Amino acid sequence: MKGYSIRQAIVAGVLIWAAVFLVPELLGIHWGNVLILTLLWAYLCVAWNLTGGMLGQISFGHAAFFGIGAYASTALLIRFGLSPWLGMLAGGAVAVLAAFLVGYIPFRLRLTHLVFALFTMAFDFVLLYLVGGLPFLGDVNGLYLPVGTDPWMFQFADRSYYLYTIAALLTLALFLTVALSRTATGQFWRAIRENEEAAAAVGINLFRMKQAGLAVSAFLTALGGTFYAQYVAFIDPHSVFGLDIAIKLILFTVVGGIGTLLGPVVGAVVLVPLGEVLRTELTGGPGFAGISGLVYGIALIGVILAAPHGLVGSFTGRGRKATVPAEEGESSPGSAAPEKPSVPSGGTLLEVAGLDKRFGGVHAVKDVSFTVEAGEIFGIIGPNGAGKTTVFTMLSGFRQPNNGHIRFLGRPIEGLEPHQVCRAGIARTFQITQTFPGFTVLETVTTAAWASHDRHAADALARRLLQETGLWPRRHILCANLTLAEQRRLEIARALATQPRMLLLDEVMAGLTLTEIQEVVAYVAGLRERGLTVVMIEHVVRVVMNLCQRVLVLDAGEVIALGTPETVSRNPKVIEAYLGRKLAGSSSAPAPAPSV
Amino acid sequence: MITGTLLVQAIVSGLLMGGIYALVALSLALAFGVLRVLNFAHGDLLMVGMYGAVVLHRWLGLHPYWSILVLAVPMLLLGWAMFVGLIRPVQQAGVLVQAQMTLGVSFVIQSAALMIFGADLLNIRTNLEMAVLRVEGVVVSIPLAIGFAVSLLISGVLSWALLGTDAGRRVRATAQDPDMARLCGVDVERTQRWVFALSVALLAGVAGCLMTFTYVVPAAGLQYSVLALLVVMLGGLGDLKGAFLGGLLIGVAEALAGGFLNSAVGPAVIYVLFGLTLLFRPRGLFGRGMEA
Repeated sequence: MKGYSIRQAIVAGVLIWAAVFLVPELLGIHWGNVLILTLLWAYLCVAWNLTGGMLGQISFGHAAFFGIGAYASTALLIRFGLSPWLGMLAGGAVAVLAAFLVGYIPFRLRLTHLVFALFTMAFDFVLLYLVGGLPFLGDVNGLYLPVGTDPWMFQFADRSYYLYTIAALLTLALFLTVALSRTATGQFWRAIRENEEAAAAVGINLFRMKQAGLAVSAFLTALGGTFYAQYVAFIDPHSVFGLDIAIKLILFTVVGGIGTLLGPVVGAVVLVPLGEVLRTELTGGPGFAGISGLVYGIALIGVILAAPHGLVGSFTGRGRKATVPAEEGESSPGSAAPEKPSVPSGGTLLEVAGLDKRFGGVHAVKDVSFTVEAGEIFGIIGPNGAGKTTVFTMLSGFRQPNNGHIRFLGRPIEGLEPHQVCRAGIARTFQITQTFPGFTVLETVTTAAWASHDRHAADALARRLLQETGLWPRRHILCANLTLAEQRRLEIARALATQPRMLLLDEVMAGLTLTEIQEVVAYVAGLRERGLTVVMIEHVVRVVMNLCQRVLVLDAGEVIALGTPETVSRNPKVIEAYLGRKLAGSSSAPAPAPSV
Repeated sequence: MITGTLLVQAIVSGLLMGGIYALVALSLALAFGVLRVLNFAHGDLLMVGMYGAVVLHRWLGLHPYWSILVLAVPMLLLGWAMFVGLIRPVQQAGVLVQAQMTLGVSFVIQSAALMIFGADLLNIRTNLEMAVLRVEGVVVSIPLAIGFAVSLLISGVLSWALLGTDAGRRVRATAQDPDMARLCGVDVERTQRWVFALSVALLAGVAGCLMTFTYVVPAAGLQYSVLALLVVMLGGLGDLKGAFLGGLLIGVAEALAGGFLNSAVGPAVIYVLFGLTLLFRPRGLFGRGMEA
């Protein structure tokens, strides 16, 4: 598993510090000041990119955190004489609280990305106007900061110290990003960005991960706000809470390459000085006042049309291509990962009682009850629209039943969230495959294993599962480039990587060739030998008949039969559901197995 | 002091202004409903119309109401070109990429306005500007009332066209389910192109009405964009009736906040309202919009 390249961060750091020492020397004070602003924007974009890029949550309201950092430290300085260095941390802390507040409901209720984006924007506007109405924060007139030469008060006689400060912040932010990308948390953020459903299904706590990502980003952004206030020595609501700040963060980052390590830096380094050149060098008259905005806008449009991954992303493929490591010898299948103790077969693993689900006027699942014994392969069949997948979504926590109980290992699990159900020991696959498109096969399975294991065990487990499912030779392929059959096998491997006691397979045979079906059948049969319990929805009836010990038949949301494949296939109701009343009635054949 | 008359005054002015907002929001909601593109440059396009009215008045002495007719066609073409050149290529790229694209357009328009017209307030002096009607102590601004009427008229024609004509049915079919509409023989791309162009052309009407009593600055575009977004989210994305009612609601809320609160904090109320709606009624106040 690889995160962002540390080498890139080191190179960027060297270049930044080279610029810090060379630019003011060679180009003079004016360009020194431009460099300070450039590095500040680069820093803010790197911070924004943690949520916008890594986590995939586009915030339109990061100016709120910037403003909080600026105002908190300034108010503490002016009212209580607190050093801005400490005020900086206080501002960061307030920003973290604000991030929890802003993120709480959108993340808790799993509202869409657009709602999150607009909500952050509304939050920023509320602060903009609210601060403008608070006299102790200087209302709309803003606050002037005292000037002096006390470094402890963030005042430097030599202006180059401001440059060192922001360069240090930027360097730290870059290395922090690299470090985070290499932790499990960073990997989970990327998984969430790639596919939230699939991330939840492997046991990742979406809410907590998103809250954490937004909090880190808000904290860093607030530090930038404090720096800005100290550097400019004057703040008012529009200069720190203005929507244009939030928009420029998005703009620079998208132009540079969203989700890449250096994209945010490159975007700012290209556009900020360019805007400055256009503004100062070309200004014949006041007519050129707007030219930097014009160029920024055109740059954004051009990048979206011509290079959707941004300047950096376009040079490196997808920005962070999976590197193919030197061939590791085909070592023996890993055996490091210990299996969870399997429940002796015979005991009841899953109890479903009176399960009921309505969607508006549609009664999708009506009073469904059944039990699954440990160690069995349990089939769920039924015509299209019978409610099979709806039952699965309730078993796996993706939807809550309107009524009824689900007990797993004797513990009620209805009302649990998907990641909690996963951790309780139920893993699922998706009828319509849900991949992490930008992850490699190996990353996908390792990420799933990380959600419930320590790293070492996880890596070994991922390797073993990929070898078992025949995906090991394809481990460095991006998921988006897999065939359907491979995606289905990957879904199984990913689900198994969470080391479940029960596996829910939703039509894993659909769309596969006969040979591929036979491979999957053999594999699933093997899983049972190892003590895993399997519940499968399947349309390929022959598979169900061969593989399952018991079969549940649903029609129009109701249970119409439950029993061994033989008894079920002779049940007149089942034949009717599959073949229609007329045919079933006229057919006197003893056992027309409803296979097609 | 909150008096009855003051309250009535705020509500009346708010409703009239809200009617104009409603048309801005209606056209934004229409475009979103049919294209699923949230146009952050909507207010900037409105601003283009406002500057257009100013130019027409300066060059030809045209009254802003007449400029509505003159501007409708160029605005239609502008919308057409924007769809073909910028929106169409990113239609498959997801709602946030499209939002970024329209943000870029917003930046370009705003900066171009600043370069061409400068940062000064521009307005048009008409004999209407200060005209008022007094009813029982409540002051009704005549240009505002006319703007309200024009907005109501345009919205009425629009809803008749959507409900009563074949073209309207094609538009509604595309909004409901583009794939299904395509299977039924609707030229979805053509419908979307026309709807987007129309949504921009409608802004000519708003621009003409606004310029009889207010002014334009380059920053106005973003303000109107945000306002329109707010109204559309309140009404429910893609819900046209909701957008209209949302417009009225925001107009009144703004007038009440402006009239009775510390004026600097006043606008915050609207954003709080907006945030709460997003959180608790993501399908809009009336619950009929699309999942955002």
